[in-house]
Parts: sequence; C-alpha cells; structure tokens
Amino acid sequence: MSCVAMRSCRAISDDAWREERDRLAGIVPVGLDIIGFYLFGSDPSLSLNTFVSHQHVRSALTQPLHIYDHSADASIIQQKSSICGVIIYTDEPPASLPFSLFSYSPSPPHVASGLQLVSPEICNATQLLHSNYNLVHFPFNTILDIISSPDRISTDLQQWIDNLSGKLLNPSNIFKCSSSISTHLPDLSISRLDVLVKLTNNSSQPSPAPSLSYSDVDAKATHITMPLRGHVCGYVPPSLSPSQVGATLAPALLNQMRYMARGAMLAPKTQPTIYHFQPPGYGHVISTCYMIEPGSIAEDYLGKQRAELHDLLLFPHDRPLLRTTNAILFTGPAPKSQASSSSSSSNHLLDVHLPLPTSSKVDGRQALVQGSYEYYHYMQDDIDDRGWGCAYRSLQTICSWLRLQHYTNRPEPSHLEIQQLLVRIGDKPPSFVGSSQWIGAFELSLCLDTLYSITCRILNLSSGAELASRGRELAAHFASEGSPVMIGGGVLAYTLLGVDWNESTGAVRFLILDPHYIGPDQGKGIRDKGWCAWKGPDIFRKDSFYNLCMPLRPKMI
Amino acid sequence: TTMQQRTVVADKDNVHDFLRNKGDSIGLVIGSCTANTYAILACVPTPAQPGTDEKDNLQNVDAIDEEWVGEHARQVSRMMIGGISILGVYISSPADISEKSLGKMANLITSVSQNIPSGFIPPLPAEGQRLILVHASRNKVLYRYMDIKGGFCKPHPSSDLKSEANLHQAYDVSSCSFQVDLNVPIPQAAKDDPDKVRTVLNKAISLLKTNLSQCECYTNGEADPNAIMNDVPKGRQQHIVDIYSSSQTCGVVPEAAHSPAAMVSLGPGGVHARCAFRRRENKARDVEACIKDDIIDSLSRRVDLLYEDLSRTNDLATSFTPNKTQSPRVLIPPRRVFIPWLAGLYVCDYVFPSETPQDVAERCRDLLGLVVPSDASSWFNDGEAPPSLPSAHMPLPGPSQTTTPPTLQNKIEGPGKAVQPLNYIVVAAVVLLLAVILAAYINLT
Repeated sequence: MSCVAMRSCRAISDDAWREERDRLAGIVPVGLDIIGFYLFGSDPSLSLNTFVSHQHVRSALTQPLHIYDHSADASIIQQKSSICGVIIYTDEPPASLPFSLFSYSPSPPHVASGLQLVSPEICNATQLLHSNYNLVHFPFNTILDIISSPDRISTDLQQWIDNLSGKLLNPSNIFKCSSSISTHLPDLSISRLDVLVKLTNNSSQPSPAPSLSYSDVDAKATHITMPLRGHVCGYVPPSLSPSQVGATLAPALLNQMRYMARGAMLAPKTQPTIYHFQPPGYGHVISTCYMIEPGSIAEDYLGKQRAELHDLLLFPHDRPLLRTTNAILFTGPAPKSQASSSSSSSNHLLDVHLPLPTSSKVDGRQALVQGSYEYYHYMQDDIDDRGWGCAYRSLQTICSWLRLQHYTNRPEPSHLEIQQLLVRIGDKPPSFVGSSQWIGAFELSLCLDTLYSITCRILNLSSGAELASRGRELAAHFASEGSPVMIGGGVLAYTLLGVDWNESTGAVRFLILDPHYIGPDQGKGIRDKGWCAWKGPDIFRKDSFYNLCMPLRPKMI
Repeated sequence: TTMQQRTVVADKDNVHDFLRNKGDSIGLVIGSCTANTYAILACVPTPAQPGTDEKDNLQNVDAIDEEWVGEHARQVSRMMIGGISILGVYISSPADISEKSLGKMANLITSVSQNIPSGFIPPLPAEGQRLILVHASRNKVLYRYMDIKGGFCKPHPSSDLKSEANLHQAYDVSSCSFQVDLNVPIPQAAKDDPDKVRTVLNKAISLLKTNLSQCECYTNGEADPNAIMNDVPKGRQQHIVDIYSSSQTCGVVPEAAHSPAAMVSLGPGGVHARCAFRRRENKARDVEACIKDDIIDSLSRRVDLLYEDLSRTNDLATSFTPNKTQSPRVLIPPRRVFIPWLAGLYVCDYVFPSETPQDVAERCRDLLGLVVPSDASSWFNDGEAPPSLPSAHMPLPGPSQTTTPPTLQNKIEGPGKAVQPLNYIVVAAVVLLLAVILAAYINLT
C-alpha cells in the first residue's frame, strides 16, 4: 500500500536502532510503513550516504526508495540512488507536521517548513490516507495469568505469547467488522474489528483427552494475574474482508500484548493501558501504552514518558497532546457536524466561529484561536448577568479553552466562584461576593493565575483607536499562544478569537465573540446577527481605555 | 410453568413394559426434566448385593439398603450425558406401599439425592429438590413426587404414570470437543497435599465454568441459537456445537496465588461433551447451558475418578510430591467414551489407559443393565482419544496403569482380581527351574 510515514532512528548502533524501530512499530498504526527518513542539523558535513550505508538501516526500510538531496534551496530535488532520505540544514521550527516524523539529529530537532516541498505525494498523504483507507480499531481483551521468576521472564513471556498467538491465529476464528464512531474523528470512516476465538476442535479425529501433571515451581516465582486490554489501530483498504483485516491486525496486536505483558511482569502493581491519539492537524492515529498506577492521577507521573514521546514524534513541548484526557474514544453518540457549531457535552456552543467565511476585507493573513472553546454569554446557566457579567463570561470562555486543550479538568468557574476567589486572594472586599460589580483584565489574570497557574500578558491601551495598530502583536499572540483574548474597555468586554492583519498596509480586522448576546444557543443565528463576526477597529471607542488579557499558553505537556 | 404443573410421562417399552416384565425389582429411573415435562426414559435395576437375593430385598422393604442404592446412583450419575439424569427411584413389587414403607422410600430417595450432584436434581421453586418415586405393582404403574428439603423427604400423593411410545425419539443430541489447558498455581500452604491441591483445582474449574458461561455457541455453524429449534424434525438430529470466546469480554481474572510453590496442569486436551434435549421443549439457550455444564462436569468427574483410583492403590500422596528428577509428574485421568443407548441416545464411561472394551461392557451391564454393541470399535473410540503425553516425560508407573477402577462389582470381588494370572506364571517358572536342577543332578550322579 502507499506509504505515508517517514521515520528515522536516533542512534546508529544495532541495538538502539532495533529498539527504536520496535518502539516506533508499536506507536504507528498498522498499514503505515517506513519509507525513508530525515537527517537534519547544522553541520554541513553530515552525510546522508554515510548514514544509510549501515546494513541494518537498509534492512529496516521496507521498499526500494529514492534519494533526495535537499539543500538549503528547498526547490532542488535530485533523484540519485535507491535510498530515500533528506538532509535539512536549517533550524527553522516546523510550521506543521501532518504525519509521523522521527529524527536523527546531533542537535535539537527542528524541521524546515520546506519539508512539504520534498514530495507532492507526501503532502497529500493525509488526504490520500483518509480517502482511500478505513481506520479500523481492534480491541482485544484477555487475561495475563503467568507464573514467572526474575531469571525466566523472557522464556515465560514467550510461552505465553505463543499460546495467545495459537489462539488468535486459529484459522477457525470468526472476525467481524462493525461501524464505529469517535467524537474526536467525526469525518472519518471508522470500523471496529472483533474476533470470536474458537475454543472447540470438532474435527473428525477425536482430540486426545487432557492429562494432568504436577510440577514444582521456582522458589522465587511470583504469580501475576491481571486483565490485559489490547487495542490496535490500522488503516486498511475498504475492500478487505473481516478475516483479512484480522490477519492484518493480529500480528500488531500480539506485539502489543507482548509489550504490555512484559511491562506488567516487570511492574506488577501497574496496569498497562493503551491510548490512541490524533493531535489537531496530525495526519494519522498514534498509539502508546501507559503503565497506569490504579488509584493515582496518571498525568502526574507520566510526564517523563510523555516528554519522551513528544521528542520522538517532534511534538512541541508547550501544549498537552498525549495526556490520557487527549485520548481518542471510539465509542459514543454520533456528533453533530461542526458546520452547525454543535455543542459539546455541555449546553454551550462549541467553536461557533468556524463556519464563518474568511475575512477578506483587509486582504491580510488570519491568525485565529488554536483549538476549541465554548461560547459563554449573558443569561446562561440561569444567571441574569445582563449589564455586568460580560467579562465574567469572557473569562469562562477562556477557561473552557483551557479545559478543551486538556490543561485542566476543572469545570469553568461560576460568577459566584469568581467573586469568592477574588475576595479570598484579597483583591476585592467581602461585599463583592453576590454583587453585580464588573471585573476587568487584571481580575481575569488573577483568576487564571490562581485557578490554573496561567500567566497572562496584560496590554494597556489608552484609547480604543490603538487597537488598530496592534495587528502585528495580536497576530503573533494567536500564532504562538493561540488562546482567546479578553478585551475590556469603555463599558463593554469582548472575547477576541483572532485577527486578520495585512502586514503591508497594517489594516486589521477582529474576530469578535460578543458575550452580551441574549438568546437561544443557535450558531447560525448568532453568526448572522453579528454576535460572532469579523469587525473593524471602529467598534472600539477612541475615548476609552482598553485593557487586554492575553493568556500565555502554559509550557506543559 | 410451576413444578406442580409438569407432566410426568414414561417410555412405554423401557419403563411400563419393563416393569411389568421385570418382576420384583428396585432401581433408578433415568430421564430428563424440562420446564414442562418429566420424561422417564428407562429403568435401571440396582445390582443385587453380594450374598443376597433380589426378591428378598423387595418383599421386605425395610431390608432395602439405602446406601447401596445411593452408591448405585452415584456411579450411574457419572455415566449420564448432559440433559439426562437420575430422576428418582422405582420399585416393582406386588404389594402396595404402606405408610410405613413410604417412610423407608423417603429415606431411600434422600440417600439417592445425597449421591447425585445437586445440579442434576430438579429444584423446587422456593428451596429444596424433587425426585420421583415410581411404583409398579401388578396392574398399575404409579408415580409420586418426593420433595427433599433440609435433609427430610416429603412424599406427595400418587398418580397414574402416563406412558408414551418411543419417548427417546423426541431427543436430539449436541456434542462438542472443548479444548482445555488449565495451569493452576498451588500456593505453598497446599503444596504436596493432594486434598488441598484438589481444592485449588476445584476452584480453577469453577472459574472456568464462569468464563465458559460468557462464551458464545454456534450450532452447526449457525450463530442463531434457535436455528435448530425451528427446523422441522426429520428423526433424531445430531448437532455439532462450537464454542467461542469473544474479544469483547475479558473473563474473570483469577486470584493471584500467594507464594506459588507448585503447579498443576490439566491439559492441553479435548473434553468431549454431549447433551440430549427434547427439541420441542428445550429453549436454545438452555441447550447451550447444558452442554457447557457437561464440559465442566466431565472435567470434574475424571479428576474425581483419578483421585479415587490413586486412593484405592495408596498412590495418592506420592502422586502429588516432587519427582526426584524434577520433571513434572504426569498422571493420566480416564478418557471419556460414549456407548449407544436407547437407539440414538448415549451413556458415557471413563476409561483408564489399561482398560479394555470388556471392562466398559462389564460396567454397563452391571450398573445400567445395558448390553453394549459387540463391535467395540464403533463406540470404544467414540469420544476422546488417549492423552498424548509430553515427550520428555513418562507417566507415573502406578497401579492406575494396571488395575481396573472400582465398580459395584469390584467392590464385591476386590482389587486383587487383576493380580491372579501373574501367580501362575511364577509357579510354573519355579517348577521348571526345579526340573532343570533335578535333571542336572541326575546326570551328575
């Protein structure tokens, strides 16, 4: 099948290469193969030929490949020999990475944005993948019931795997496919594979009756019993029959089971658990196994493992992408389409701005909020906050963004909780609680710091007219942080979701989410009436001060 | 349908006519119990005790040995396939059963109930169990319910026992060969103690039963359990059941053994299960449950028989101690074979490696009054093949390889029967040696 993933290895030694290749094989779904790799760094003497001359590197590549010698000029591509690789001698951070990329680099890894020019096939890989293949997920539950001593773990594990393999690969098993959905992947065709493992053997030859044997066990042996819930993903052509899909995914499942069983045998008090992820903009699913300690908060002690995965997958270290709360769930009700700005599990509209056409009035470049948020406005949640609650609602929108980016599990604070917090930290007198007093950018920053340890940048403007000249700054904020911004000034507070900024002319338009809206939560009506819309700088009063609260994305994973 | 509303019917040839022609007799009644019907398929006379005359037992009801009949029931229950069980006791005598005799009958029924696994006895709705007492006198065949609760048996009034011809032909038979491979860790506290090992093994078999209950059954390749029920019967149908475990269920996780010191492995091998069911009455799910129960029961029975055999030959303790060579000690439980019964149904027997078709034939004759087909190849290999042993290990060379397991007959004759032929050979060899020595002495002199 078409190969869309690119990989390389961190180190050149046989063991390290093999270990990393095996590690990667468990992370990347079935159906994706190694087709090449990238070398990058600042040293001009770095030689692609030297790297690929190692036999085990060649043997790991599954297809005959072509070499691309990519110099600083991204447009030069030369086809030379039968090995595929790219050397990139630039340190610019990636603009986007639609597919897996694992790096070998003597220096911290960075990938040129020119990567996408290397091969048109690779650029379209994600589209090809989703249009030509089905994503199949295969959950498989079994019990690890094994007696082993420390010096026999490999032997006993192999025997257990062999037994499982015999059962799973029995040609008499029945594989079934059924349709599946995921709220994380609403536009994808997903199937679920199940297997019925045959426990009988009704051949014409009578089976031998069971014998009974009694044997001693090593004094150092321990008995480990636990459920193992494997779950592999793969991309398969839609024409495959269920048994063919099963034959495709079964070897990956056995490898996963081996990994999980080994982890359980080495750390019996933990439960190996499989999670699948597909970060925003990423081209395919990735899977990993976390060793979960029952009763503990996984995110607290898995930080090191997440950091290693972020390094391996060239993910940025400033946003959580591989937390257990980021994981894909394959069961659940069919989501409403995003075109109608469907609500999340709460009763607030999700990403209400998305169906808006791009603003072209200034012929600029858009920089928008990154990730999802929920729309908070007047009169929601049975609270009549008309005339005073707009900044509270803007804060709640920002808090929802933090939750949906998996920085927190905490639900959005109510008006009362916000007021109580400000009194508790000494910013407001006790009489503030229960009042209808306004809050501003400064109070928002205090709340975000107290609740989530979020740092905010406060921008103080002496006049609303100044906003027209802050296009570059705001565009940079949305490009780097991507968090919603609260704009407070005059008697109004707004939530800013993005800017359209023309670098040449300096003209700017603002994507405003207005918390003063009163009415039903229907996205089309809200957009049509301008409660979420692109607006010019004229909406800001020249005779008023304006303060902006710009939350900085916490550098955490 | 309540217990009280079940129809009780008996096969005309194998019950009514049998009892009329049998004369004075006592024994067991065998058949099936469904939601609607007690179907009595056959009567099985209890063998006479050594040194007694059958007639004497029945003319003097008080002299009936309840323990003897109970032991008969215990051994016969092991020969039943799924869906068929001992439903009670029959007594064929010219005299009516007096109230005093009814008390004796109640004790008899209680003894029988204590020797049959409780799962085979139809339960009462609230609490207790129900067996049937069939009484055949000169002109009539009656039955009465005998309810057992708290160790006491309460007789109900008698009723005429209806007969139906060819009752056994209403049954279909399902079978399967279930692959067993249990590896059971034995904690330090139970190591080398056969009884404690048996307790641990029982627990593992019980866990297997729980996990098996969650498995899916395909009959004749069909997932729909009602497929065979909806077919128009064309005579007796034989069905093949395949059992599958679903990847969606994990099963019950066994409790981790603290400080495992030994391991018992049962398998790998196939347990051949069979169950008979009345097509028009049994629900498909009940048939699936029945064959799963037969798997578990058969597994337990053969371990019971192995233990009994090792106990009888005083090898039980040594069988569960470490081997000097540190290799596993391999024991051979009996394998299951199926013998044709009642034109299309089956009974089963458990055969140790040293046993022959003649041994099985004797047990069927003694315990069931059944004459097996003369062509042993048709049934002696119907069921399970002899176990295949691990190539690196030889089985324990114990008495289970050379003597027959106990039957009611052997309890009479004792286990020494198999040793007698050897004595003649020894005597003959000694005589020959003496003759050679004598001849040599004569030559010298």
